[in-house]
Amino acid sequence: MTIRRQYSLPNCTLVLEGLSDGSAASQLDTRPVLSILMSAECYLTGIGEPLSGGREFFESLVRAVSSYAQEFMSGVHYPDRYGPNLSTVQLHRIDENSHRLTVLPAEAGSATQIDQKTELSAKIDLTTVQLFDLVEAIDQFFADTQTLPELSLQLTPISKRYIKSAEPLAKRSLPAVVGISSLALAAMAFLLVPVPQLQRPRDPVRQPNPAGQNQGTPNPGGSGSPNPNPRPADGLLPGERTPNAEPSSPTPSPAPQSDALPSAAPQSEASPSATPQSDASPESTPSPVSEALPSPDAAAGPITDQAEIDLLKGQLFQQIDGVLKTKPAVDAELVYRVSVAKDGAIVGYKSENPAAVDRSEAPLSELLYKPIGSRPPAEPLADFRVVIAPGGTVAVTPW
Amino acid sequence: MFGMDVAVILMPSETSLTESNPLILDSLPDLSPNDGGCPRRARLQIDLMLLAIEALYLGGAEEMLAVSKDLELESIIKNRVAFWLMRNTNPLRRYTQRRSLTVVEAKALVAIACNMARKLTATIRQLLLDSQQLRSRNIPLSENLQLADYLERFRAHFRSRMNPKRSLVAAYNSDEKLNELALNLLSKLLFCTGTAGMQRFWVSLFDGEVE
Repeated sequence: MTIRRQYSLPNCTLVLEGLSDGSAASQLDTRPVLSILMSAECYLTGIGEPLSGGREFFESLVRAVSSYAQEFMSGVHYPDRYGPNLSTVQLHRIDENSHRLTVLPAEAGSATQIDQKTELSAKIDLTTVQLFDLVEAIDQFFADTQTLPELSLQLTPISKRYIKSAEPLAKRSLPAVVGISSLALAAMAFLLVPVPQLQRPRDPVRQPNPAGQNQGTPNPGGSGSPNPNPRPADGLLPGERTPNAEPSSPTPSPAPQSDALPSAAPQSEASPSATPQSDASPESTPSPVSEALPSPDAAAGPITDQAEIDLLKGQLFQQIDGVLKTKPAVDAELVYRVSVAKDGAIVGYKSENPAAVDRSEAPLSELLYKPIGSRPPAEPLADFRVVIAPGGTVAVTPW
Repeated sequence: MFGMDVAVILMPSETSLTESNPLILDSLPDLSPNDGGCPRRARLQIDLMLLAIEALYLGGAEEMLAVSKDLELESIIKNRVAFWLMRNTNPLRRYTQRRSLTVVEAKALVAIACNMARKLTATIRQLLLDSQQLRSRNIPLSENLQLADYLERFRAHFRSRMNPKRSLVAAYNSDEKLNELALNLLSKLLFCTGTAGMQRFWVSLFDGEVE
């Protein structure tokens, strides 16, 4: 017999249907345990069709929502709060009072779709009150011991280690980063730390180059001398082959979040104001890696979707952090510009400060994706600034 | 009073004092990174949430002491002065205390904040819905009487109690910025009203503070 459980809030109703395996339920219990989930439906005001799916969808939903609720309360953004987040449901902050819930199709994880444009199956903007109702419906489910008892509320604070690495990003371009930005109290926390050193001036926005004409452009951001003919020694090394360096499944590319608003949070005065990242259109930020790649037709646009960038950032951080643990600490701060493909593979990197240039072997080299020949020549990339501090901490920020 | 007795008996030992926690605090895990008390951001955040509650209705501060009794937290918050001193561990206060806030004290304040937030659920929801409607139509928030009252009281509380010499306080130098802060706190209070609100608020205070 099908068991149906419903958790209703003014803006959100969660309906679970499933079966009891009979093992856990005692005869005296009038309410059997729903232990096998057949379907989950999430009705939200403002959308006609409910979000629905099976176990995978539901677990992804509760994980993403619970994690985002903590992010909302603490102001600390961390996409991988509960392990690598390749889940189908994601939540991102749009502004002070709106939050974007996206649901990706379940099959998006398949490697065969690497080049295909994956459609979102749902994109909903929730107000804070709607978000709360969703969180509350899920918390009521968690509190219900007779429904999927193995899923319960797990709350753990984020480690200091990650936050340290996240701070420079927040200081530099807080409004640009959906998620970290604009929670007033997060902002307050950042203001409490000592005034950061002045950041290197940002690269001037370059003119877009038509495809095929982008070879030999001197790198305006590099601290070394311009090099019209990028050689491996200058960075962006294609390395030896280790197929297992390819870490993850591809991520789809939803529409760019060009409507993400800069924060109205009070600290915006204290941090650098208008940041090019937030309003840069894909055309105005040609991918720097395409300039250095050998193939002349490598001229794909950068990855602009904030959700995807967040995801890649988290993956990159984990990859580098994992490798660094096995290495001796560096003796000077190393700065790299790292290009990451949509599937999380590191396809190139470039030393960006003298200490990094002087180092013969970057800690990153073993992470580099080693092309077997199947990588698309013009795939979209996201560039990140990776700073490895002498203390062993890693900071990953969008370039 | 059972709670009182237990607390008095176990007072001498720090570990047993933790074990004698009022029941309501049992649901909050011990997360403090070291025994030096609560992180700075936690002290700041707890006090601001309580400040927002005070701005929600007159007599809020008195009510907090009453709630403290209801929740049998008297062994931790012994009186008005003790309560005031605990709140003044917020580093932004004019009369900020050098001492830190112990974990048990912080839990007690969180329990009070969440209990009061839950009682105020209807008000909090309504104010948030109103502010959202006004914003979506580009109408000034002051057009709504209840909202205007809340914001005005919050600004007054903040300005009278926080030290303007602190750069963070000085950054809130306009009504608009303080209104933003007040609304941000209000939406966090909404999350405190939920089934797991108290745990969520408590754990959020330690984000980025633990190893």
